Amino acid sequence: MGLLRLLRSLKKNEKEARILVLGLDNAGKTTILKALSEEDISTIMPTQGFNIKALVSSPRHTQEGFKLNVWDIGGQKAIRPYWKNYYENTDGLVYVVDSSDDKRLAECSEELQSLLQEENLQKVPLLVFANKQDLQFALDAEENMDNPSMLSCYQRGQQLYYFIFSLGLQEGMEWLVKTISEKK
Amino acid sequence: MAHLQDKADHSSSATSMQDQHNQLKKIAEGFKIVSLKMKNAANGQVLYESSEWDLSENEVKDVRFPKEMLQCTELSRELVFESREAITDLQLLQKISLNNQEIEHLYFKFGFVIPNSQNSWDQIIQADSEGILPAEVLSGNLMVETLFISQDQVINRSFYRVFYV
Ligand SMILES: Nc1nc2c(ncn2[C@@H]2O[C@H](COP(=O)(O)OP(=O)(O)O)[C@@H](O)[C@H]2O)c(=O)[nH]1
Ligand SMILES: [Mg+2]
Repeated sequence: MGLLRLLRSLKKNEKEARILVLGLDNAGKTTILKALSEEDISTIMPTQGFNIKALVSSPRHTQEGFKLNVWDIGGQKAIRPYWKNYYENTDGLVYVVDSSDDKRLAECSEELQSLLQEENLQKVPLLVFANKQDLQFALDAEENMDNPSMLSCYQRGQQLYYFIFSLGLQEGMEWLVKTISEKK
Repeated sequence: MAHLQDKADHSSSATSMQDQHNQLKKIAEGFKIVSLKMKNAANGQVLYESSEWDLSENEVKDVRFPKEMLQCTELSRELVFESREAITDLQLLQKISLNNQEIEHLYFKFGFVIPNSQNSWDQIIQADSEGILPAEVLSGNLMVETLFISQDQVINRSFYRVFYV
């Protein structure tokens, strides 16, 4: 993952951006976060709170020390009621879907639906990751989109969204960061 | 009558001050730094890891970082902490000083902390390798003070002294 490239997608005058990574437990949120800094992903434990990656560029590389804060919040049912504490000031939302877990696809889209109703998440660019594409029984992006319960999530008028496979993590993150900085 | 009213107000605010104090005490008791890790974020290599971080107030921990760390262009510093209580406005203040003179000051607002949670904060800095002081100058003279704060009160404070070996 090219961290430097990610920061370069930002506009010159940008100072700080906050990205929230949400989705059901076991979707792969923490794995994505760790991949941002080439971390070992073989020993990830279920998240009992939040994990933050705070990327800080030094003044000499770009403009005045830019900051990108990526928040991964635990997705277990017992923790989900706390999600709302983290919506404020969010500039971008990443929603991670376990494409191999067709049993929980309905629950997964319900959670996304209710996120999209949130006041603080209106007009926030959304990136949906169809994760775990390497697994044999994974639904591909098109099947994910065709699923009636998921489909309704993507018809959201003004809201910007982008749907990608897990292989395109770098591409997806760059899209999100760029979209955030163009909106500001 | 007005006098009585004043008195009632006064005693109720005194109780709430007491409540606040007790709450902060509970938060502090249930708060713990679990580990500190330093990594080269360009390749994921772990350069330093300490899981024994149960420091008492005012204790200074000596840490030995490998010299190569100063050459990293993407350096990651990860702190893992636990909290038993919910915290509404957690903030972190880190002060780095060289020979007792503050050279860097860092602030981060976490906001809400989930009760019985374990959380991590990983800061990745794109460092300038040019202009960095040599290891011999820094080693033993660099102090890092980390303060976790809630409602303007320090709930956890830790110090470590950095050696480059
Ligand atoms: N096969 C496969 N497994 C993945 C992928 N991403 C994550 N996982 C695994 O899914 C499990 C849950 O991942 P984790 O990141 O902890 O999910 P979280 O609960 O959303 O944070 C772990 O065992 C990961 O190794 C992927 O793209 N493919
Ligand atoms: Mg997780």
